[in-house]
Amino acid sequence: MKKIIIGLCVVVLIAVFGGRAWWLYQHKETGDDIVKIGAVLPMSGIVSDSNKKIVATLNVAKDIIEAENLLENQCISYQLEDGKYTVKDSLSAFNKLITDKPNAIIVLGDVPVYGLKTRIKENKIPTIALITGTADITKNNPYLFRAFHANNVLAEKNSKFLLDKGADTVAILRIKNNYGDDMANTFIEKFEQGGGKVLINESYAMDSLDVRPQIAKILNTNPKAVFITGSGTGYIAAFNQLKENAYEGIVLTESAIMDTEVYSHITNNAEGCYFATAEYGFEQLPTFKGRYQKAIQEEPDIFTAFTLMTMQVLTEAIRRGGTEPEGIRRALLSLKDFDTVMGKVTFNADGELYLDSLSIKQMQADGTAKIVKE
Amino acid sequence: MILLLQLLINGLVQGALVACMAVAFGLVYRSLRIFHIALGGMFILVGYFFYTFVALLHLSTPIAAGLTLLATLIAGAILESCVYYPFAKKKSTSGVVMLASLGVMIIIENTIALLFGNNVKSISVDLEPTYIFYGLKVTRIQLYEFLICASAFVILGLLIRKNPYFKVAWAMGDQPRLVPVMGLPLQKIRQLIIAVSSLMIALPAALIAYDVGIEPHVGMSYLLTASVAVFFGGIDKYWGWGLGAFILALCQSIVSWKFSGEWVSMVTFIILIFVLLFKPSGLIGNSKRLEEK
Repeated sequence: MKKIIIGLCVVVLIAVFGGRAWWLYQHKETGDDIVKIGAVLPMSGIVSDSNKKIVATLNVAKDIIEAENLLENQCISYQLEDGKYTVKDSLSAFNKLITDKPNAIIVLGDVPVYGLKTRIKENKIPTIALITGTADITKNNPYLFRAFHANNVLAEKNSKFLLDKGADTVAILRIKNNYGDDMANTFIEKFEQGGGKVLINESYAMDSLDVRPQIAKILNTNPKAVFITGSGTGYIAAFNQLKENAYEGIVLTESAIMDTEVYSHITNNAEGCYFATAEYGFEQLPTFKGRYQKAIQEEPDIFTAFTLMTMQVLTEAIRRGGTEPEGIRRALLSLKDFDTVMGKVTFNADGELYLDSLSIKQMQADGTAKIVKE
Repeated sequence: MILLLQLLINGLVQGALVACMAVAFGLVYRSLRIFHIALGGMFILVGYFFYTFVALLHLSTPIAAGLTLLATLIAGAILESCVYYPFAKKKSTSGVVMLASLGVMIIIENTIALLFGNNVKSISVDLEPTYIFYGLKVTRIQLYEFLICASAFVILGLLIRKNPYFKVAWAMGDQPRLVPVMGLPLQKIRQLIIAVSSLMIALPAALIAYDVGIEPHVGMSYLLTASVAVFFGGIDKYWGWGLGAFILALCQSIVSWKFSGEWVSMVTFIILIFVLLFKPSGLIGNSKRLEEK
């Protein structure tokens, strides 16, 4: 009896797995009508939750592109690899991706892009550095294109805004990684060129929950403004613990504050803070918002918009330049004032993104942001 | 000067929290000779129990705190009966048990990440009242952290000195085989140690989770700080664990003051290496006799 049951189980298992393998074989996406887009994303690890909205955006964008036949009977096939937001894992993920010869690649975040920039140049596959702010990261790399605000552009806007408001002394609290270091350095350069003075430049680890020592040091310098930059739990702690100390000066930050998950942990403690950001709107793709909300039960935010913009520019580049990586690269460079959810988009010869809408906003008590300076 | 005093106050609060964690680690290490890595997992579990009861089930904070302690005791009992005791019965080496403990920690961490996600979970986003004394700021939750953890540390220290069960539990670390020989209930004493350890980790973990939130990957860093405090103070000295915790936290504050907050974890390990090299018995630990060496 026991042998019969084991035998039956084996037969059932073979049927299930064999059937699945046969189905996969039948539905395998092959041939010239497939555009392969690889992506190195933080699918596990400390920032993996932010990945949810990126993947949802990519999937909804693919559905819309295929439904509207924007690629003329070609369909998109994503290959997503886990870079865990570390250089080491991103390198492994990238190496795995390129064996499949993707037509274009998306890499999310400053740390992975920083670690991969040489490999991107060597492999000659056009790569979009999504949500990557590090200044000049695309320079001298013909295959790297940015899909985010560059830190030096933000630094110029932020420092001018603060100086105009009379805040000529600033304390910086930044995340300790490539992004935070670069953001702080570019800000210090622009702010001090404008006549301001940075009193202290403190940092926190992405996963730190307590930044009270750094805040005590910052408040001891009595700055007119505090610039909080970065992401992760340390960013959240910085807002909450600064408010705990009843700081009454200007708080300047960045668009990370509009991340729905981040804001849910800060809420009223962010009220009144300022940040520079680009405008976005989904009117151009009326079905996107509904599909996105259905997919992850969340409102789309600025990171969703940048991801969708990435797919819009890639789609247009494929339409114009064909599926060969070199054609896509040339077509990306030829985009001038191309209409996307982020407004009109242009890449310069270095692959830097130029956005025509960058304004300073102020957080309101209800979690919305109001433009205070165009 | 105000800045230094402010950092020292923060250091005292941190010291009380680390002292409790050091006891939670030290008791198991001292009495059962287990390098209790799963304590990092217990820390995370406590935070998420508390988060579930307060933020998801909307129970009042005192009821949620009580249920969290109860749930932690149950988790500790499961850990002892399903992992540590079976290994003890098989007379496994300490290396094997340490690996199993590490496995438990990883299982807890990943399960929590799977269930709740990797992002931080805040129990309360309301602003805590802040008290200001001569320019020095302390939040209400920091006061609770200091008072509750320092009291728990002192009370347990007195119990270990006076209570016969705790005396046996303490002595068990020196001669574990004598316990059954003397007709004492070995399993019950083991359970008592794990239960006390679980309670001592539950207090700081719940308070920290309430204060700054919790995420699934913080357990290891707290575990390391707690273990360094134990080795620093002296493995065989209960009061040394507290002293080690306070000195460690104060050193971290001074480093924040003189250098930057980002270097505080480095100090922990510099102290550990220094102690292991030059004073292996700890700050107030007795030096070994010549024939013991």
